[in-house]
Amino acid sequence: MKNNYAKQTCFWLFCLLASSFIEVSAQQRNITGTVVDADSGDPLPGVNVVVEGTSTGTITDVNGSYSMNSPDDATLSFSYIGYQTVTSQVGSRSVIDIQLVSDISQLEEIVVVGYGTQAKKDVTGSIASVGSSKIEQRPVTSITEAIQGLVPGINIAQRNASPGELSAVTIRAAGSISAGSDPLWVIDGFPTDQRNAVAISPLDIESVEILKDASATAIYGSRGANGVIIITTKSGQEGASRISVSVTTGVSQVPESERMTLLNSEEYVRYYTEQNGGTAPDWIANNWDGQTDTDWQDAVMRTGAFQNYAISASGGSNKISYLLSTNYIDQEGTIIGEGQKKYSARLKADYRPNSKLTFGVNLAPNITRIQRSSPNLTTDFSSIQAQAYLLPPILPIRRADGTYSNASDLSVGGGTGLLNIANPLETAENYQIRSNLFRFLGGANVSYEILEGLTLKSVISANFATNDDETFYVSPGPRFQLPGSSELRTGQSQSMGWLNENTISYKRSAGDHSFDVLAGLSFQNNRFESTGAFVRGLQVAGPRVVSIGDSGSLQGFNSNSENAIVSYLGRANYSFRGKYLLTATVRRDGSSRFGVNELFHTFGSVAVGWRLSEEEFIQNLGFVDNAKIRASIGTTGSNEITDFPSRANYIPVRQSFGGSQTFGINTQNPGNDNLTWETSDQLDIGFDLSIFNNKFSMTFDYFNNKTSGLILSRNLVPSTGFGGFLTNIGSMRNKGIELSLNAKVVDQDDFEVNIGGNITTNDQEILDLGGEDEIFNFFGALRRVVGGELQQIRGPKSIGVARVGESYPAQPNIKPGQLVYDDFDGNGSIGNFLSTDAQLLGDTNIDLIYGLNGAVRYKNFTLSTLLQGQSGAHVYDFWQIQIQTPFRYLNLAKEFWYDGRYVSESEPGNGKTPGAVGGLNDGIYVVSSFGDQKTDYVRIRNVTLNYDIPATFATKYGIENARVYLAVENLHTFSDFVGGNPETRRLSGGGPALIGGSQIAGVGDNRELGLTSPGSLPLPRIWTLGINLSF
Amino acid sequence: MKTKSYKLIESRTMKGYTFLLMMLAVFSCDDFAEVEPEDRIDATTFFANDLEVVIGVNGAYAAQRGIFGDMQSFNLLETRSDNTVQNTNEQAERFETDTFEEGIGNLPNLVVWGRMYNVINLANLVITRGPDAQGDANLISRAVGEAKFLRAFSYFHMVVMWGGVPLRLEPIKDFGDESQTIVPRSTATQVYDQIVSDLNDATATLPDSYAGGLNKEKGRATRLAALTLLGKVQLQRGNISEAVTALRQVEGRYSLLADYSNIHSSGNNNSAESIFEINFLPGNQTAYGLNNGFLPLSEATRFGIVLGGGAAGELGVRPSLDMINIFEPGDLRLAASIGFLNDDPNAEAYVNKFVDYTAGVNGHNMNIVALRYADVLLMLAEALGEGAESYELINMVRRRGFGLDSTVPDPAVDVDGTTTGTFIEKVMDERRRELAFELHRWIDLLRLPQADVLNIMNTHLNNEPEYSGDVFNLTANNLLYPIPTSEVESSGGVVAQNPGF
Repeated sequence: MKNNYAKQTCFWLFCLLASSFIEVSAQQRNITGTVVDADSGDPLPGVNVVVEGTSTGTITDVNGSYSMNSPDDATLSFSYIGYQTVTSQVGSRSVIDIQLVSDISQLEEIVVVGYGTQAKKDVTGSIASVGSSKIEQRPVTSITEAIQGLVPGINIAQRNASPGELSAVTIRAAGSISAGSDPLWVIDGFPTDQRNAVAISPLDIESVEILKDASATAIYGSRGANGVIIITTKSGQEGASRISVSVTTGVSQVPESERMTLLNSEEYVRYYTEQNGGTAPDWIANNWDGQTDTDWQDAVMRTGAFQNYAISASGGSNKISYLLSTNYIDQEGTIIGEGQKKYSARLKADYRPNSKLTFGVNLAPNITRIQRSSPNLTTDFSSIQAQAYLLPPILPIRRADGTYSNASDLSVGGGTGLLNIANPLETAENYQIRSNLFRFLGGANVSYEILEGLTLKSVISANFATNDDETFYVSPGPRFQLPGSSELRTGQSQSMGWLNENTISYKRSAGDHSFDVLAGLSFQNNRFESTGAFVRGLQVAGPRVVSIGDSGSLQGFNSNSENAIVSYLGRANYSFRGKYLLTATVRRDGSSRFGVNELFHTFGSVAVGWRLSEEEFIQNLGFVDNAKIRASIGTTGSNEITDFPSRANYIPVRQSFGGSQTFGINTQNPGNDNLTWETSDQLDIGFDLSIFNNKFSMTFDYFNNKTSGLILSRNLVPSTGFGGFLTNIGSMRNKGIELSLNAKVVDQDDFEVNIGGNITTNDQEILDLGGEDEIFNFFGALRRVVGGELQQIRGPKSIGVARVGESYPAQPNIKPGQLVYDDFDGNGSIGNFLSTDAQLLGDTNIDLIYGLNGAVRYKNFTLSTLLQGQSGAHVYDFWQIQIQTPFRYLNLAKEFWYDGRYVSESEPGNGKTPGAVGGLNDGIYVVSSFGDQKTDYVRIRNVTLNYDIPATFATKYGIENARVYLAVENLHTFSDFVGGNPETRRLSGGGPALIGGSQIAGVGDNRELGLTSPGSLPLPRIWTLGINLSF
Repeated sequence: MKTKSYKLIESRTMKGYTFLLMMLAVFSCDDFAEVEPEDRIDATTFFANDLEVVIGVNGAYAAQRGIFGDMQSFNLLETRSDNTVQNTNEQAERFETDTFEEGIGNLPNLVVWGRMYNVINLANLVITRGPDAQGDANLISRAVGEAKFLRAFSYFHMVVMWGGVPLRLEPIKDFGDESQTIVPRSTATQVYDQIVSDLNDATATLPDSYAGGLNKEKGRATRLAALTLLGKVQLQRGNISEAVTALRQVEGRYSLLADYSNIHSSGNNNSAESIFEINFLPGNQTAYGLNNGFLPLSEATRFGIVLGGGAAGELGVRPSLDMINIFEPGDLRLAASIGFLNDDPNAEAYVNKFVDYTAGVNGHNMNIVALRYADVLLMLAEALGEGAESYELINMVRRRGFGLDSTVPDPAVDVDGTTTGTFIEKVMDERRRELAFELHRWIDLLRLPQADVLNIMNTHLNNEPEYSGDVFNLTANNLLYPIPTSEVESSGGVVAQNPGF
């Protein structure tokens, strides 16, 4: 009870803070006047005219005129964005005309930082910004698709193009082995995760800020270590109301170049005939009609339509500003039966009863409906994509009797060893899978300027999400490799989060000194619940009702989870003469996710900046607009683990005695009261430069992040009942540089050329694994080795293909066409990947990511493009080696197994690809350099041709702005990677891990493995035509 | 509209804030981060009352289901013996268990080891924390008795398979403390002494039978089950008189079913012959899925049995040649234990003892009979040694196997001192026929003198067509399994490996 009492006390304390502000006003005489630009003399509409210290005021109209009541002794304040505020004593005047002078400093770039904004020139941390103009014209459904390649230091990998799938996002590379590496996403001040970010309509986004170093992220304390992405949505502006309409339509398809190239029937028959020693094997001879040549990828893929409609209205006065927007996206998947529809709306409004007080509200509900056609998108055999890769081309889609074919049609006598692959069209036809997601993120805030410069702000926000998932398997009859009876799985899950944040900030300049300080208290609680039911054998087809299923098969599930975080935070910025900058940040977090002895931890950072461009000797150069050196050091944490890993617990298990049901317990988690955060010690040194009237600008950063206290499972002897228990051991480091350059190559009225580019390098090293030299993943095919990068692929290195007449001393029994390996240990024989012949073949860390963008404008036409790429990461191609492999007699990836293979001495191939006959009998190839693939690629992410409709034409129809554009997304990927999307990855699934060669229970994580994942859908190419209008 | 002085408001407001900030300094909001999980059972507070103690011991029973409802235990206790042969084309590790070629990292070996300790660790929780629980003292002491029976059951199988093992008798409190987590091996004698002590405690607190109903369900361990296990343990140790004493108390308390094939038939669980079973129930996550795993796919289709996924034939085990040949003509136990493809006695044989021909989509309705009365009669005969009473005990079992009344002597079936073979051979052969595939054979073999076991196993392996081409010469080191390598390595060598590995 004490606990609850304290919580309630804390909560109501801050509700109190936010309440009881009293509106006051006064009235005396009528004043009129006109406000104009001091330089041009043009009237300024929308200027705020306020009686100082009150809420009384108005705004100027289209002609810059205003009219209002004011007391005699009042002072009027005239303010307008981009201009210096002017005050004027009323006295006895009834007409007051004002000239406003533009304010250079105000026009300077503002960036959003944690719990506030800051002039970019004063920022000491490493922050990259992406503005709405970079996002608006991209035909994307979520923000993650839009920012890849635009700024350095962030990598966004689309593992799977299926609707609703999340991307793998890392900032300055993954800094953890078992904990998550997803950054913290902060949406309009609400700390949350990627799921809420992708739910936002990209057109609602004003800016995205990527916080990369400790100076920027320490204010998020225990959640800052993976970096922070702040998304700020658009707000209404003071001034005339504005309506914007955006319509985009297009088509998406997976082009041939992005697909895996498979064998056609002729090639398939040829390969397996070679494998069979020159005669066609029975399963081909007895079943192929000599003509059938099915392209299974064609059979399951389609061209999907894409539509995106958005409309928004915004405007405001000096008292109220608002933005209302709605968005509808309908995206058909490129696989039959898949697609998503997103409906979103947003209301954002501010109410300023007087110049000191602001109330704000931000409500953003959205609904996403996702349809899928196979129950599992990622496993080897049940995804439609995988089935299309595997089924031999000699099978027709349907048999002569009209029923669907499948791999069993080729299993002559049941003995060919063909894997049991179902027909993907039959899978799609029988499964009806949908999920309806509703999300709401929003809240209210109040801020009050107690004294000049001293502002108190309080926020209460909520995040609510429900997901209604249903998998209905229709077929009531026996089906090959599909359930024999109908099945219904239905589930509801919901998450509820709320946030209360209270900050007090004080800003003051005095002489050479200016500083601002911030202190705050934050509470956040997230709760998750799910319930579901499963039943088999529905008595009648059609109704999706659990109660008509076989009662004996009925199962119900439920689970819930909760986490809470309480934080005390503070930050001080100090600037001396605008030249010397200092930022100090501290945050103390208490998180329910950690052991009862380690609930609290304090994080912080210190950063300095030196604005060289304010120094005389630089100013004397005459061409430097801005030059700044930054350095930061600090400690942040990661709480990206499940909710209760530190708590010892039992799980209920079913038990029956003599036919009656009861339950018992089993041990589940040994618990660790001392489990705490992984902490990241981060160093960043940066340099910003812009010269020649900002025609050329660059940002450089060096980073060096060391994560310690890695949450790993320490081995326990199996007789304890646990493979291991989670504890903080080990450390690793990521270091590298980031560089971005932007240049206005040509800057004329009718002709502009802009080029920008960025690169990020990363050098990763595991420093310590708690005394172990290495941890095995995936049976040792992947290893985490001290001194190496996160996941290494080790195995024998293949150095050629055996030829007739050559001798290979280490492989005396080798046959022509088999792989020849490097006898790495020189012992005269070749061992497998666990032997001393294994050598480092590659690692899964991306060493280099880069982006290049360019735009050329001629008069009203702009052609822009975005390229993006990566290099250095390898993957162990589990799929090609273990699944889609010749010993299963299924279809093959042409470039992997067929092209360049050894056929005979007269057709020896490329000397790298083993022959079909006897080529794989050594068993060594399974984990060897043959299965190691580079994932380097360069992708033309976007090309857009934009036409701004001339203002003279537009204004005739009352249109303020109008443009039409033609865009193509994912135009082409250049890559040597065989097998579709080089970014697919398999998840570890929490299976057993191996330490020191022995098997132990896994950490229970779901981390990415450096393995390919075939069920992942390749990225589609999307052509769109769009029009944006604003009135 | 009222006009107010700003100064007044501001100073009031400031006072308010000062007050609130002062309160903040007084109140700590740290408690906010204390959240307790709700959808799981808190290990630190459980075992507070009698019902929770019973639920605890239920978990130990459920963990037994994990051991015996899985193919790995079948591999270690049955495929290891001369009763069955592992198909060489199936998983290599199971084949290695069959042919004594397993390495220290052998997975079935590790899995069974870990699951045996799962039962032991759950039993330890009940035994240690149960006595402090509130509630019905009788119920608590009964549950503690059940836990001791289950702990003894696991340790008995372990001491047979691995020899002396680490004796864990208390739950671990701090998993970061190696003095608690790492336990060296005890000697086999120490393990046996603990088993006997646990079973003596269990016999003192367990009832002879259960009335049925919640928390007194039929199927829980009884005093008679504890005595049966005690007899088995003492027999294995060579404590003959103690074995007789225990088994005599069970004698006459159960009966042989008239029809041998009813012992393993759908729905006929916890029968009059059954002393202790691993209980299953179709559906609801407690179904025994293994039964039909012995059945080849084509046979499952022939019998029209609903199969779950690829379970059919997945075990890849079949009866050995000498197993098939040991049945005499007229012995109905052959057909109840071994089937042939399409009923062709020359075709491939498979284990059909546990097949549930009426299994539905929710699985098979058949328990694993761990201890039954025929076993008691044969153990008693073995303990008593050659004599008229012993032959009568064996003959009771034989007659039933031949479809006869077990109490009526029949010279055509009965064995006696004039029958070929030594007495122990006759007992062992009868046990082999009667208890085929019921996870007894490897344990039984280890009661024989080492030379005899090695001779039996070498003969079996060298004559079995499945292994033709290989020559086997097992030694005494082969009679114990290796301690799983992770137990040895993670203990830093504190847990010693068995010789020969």
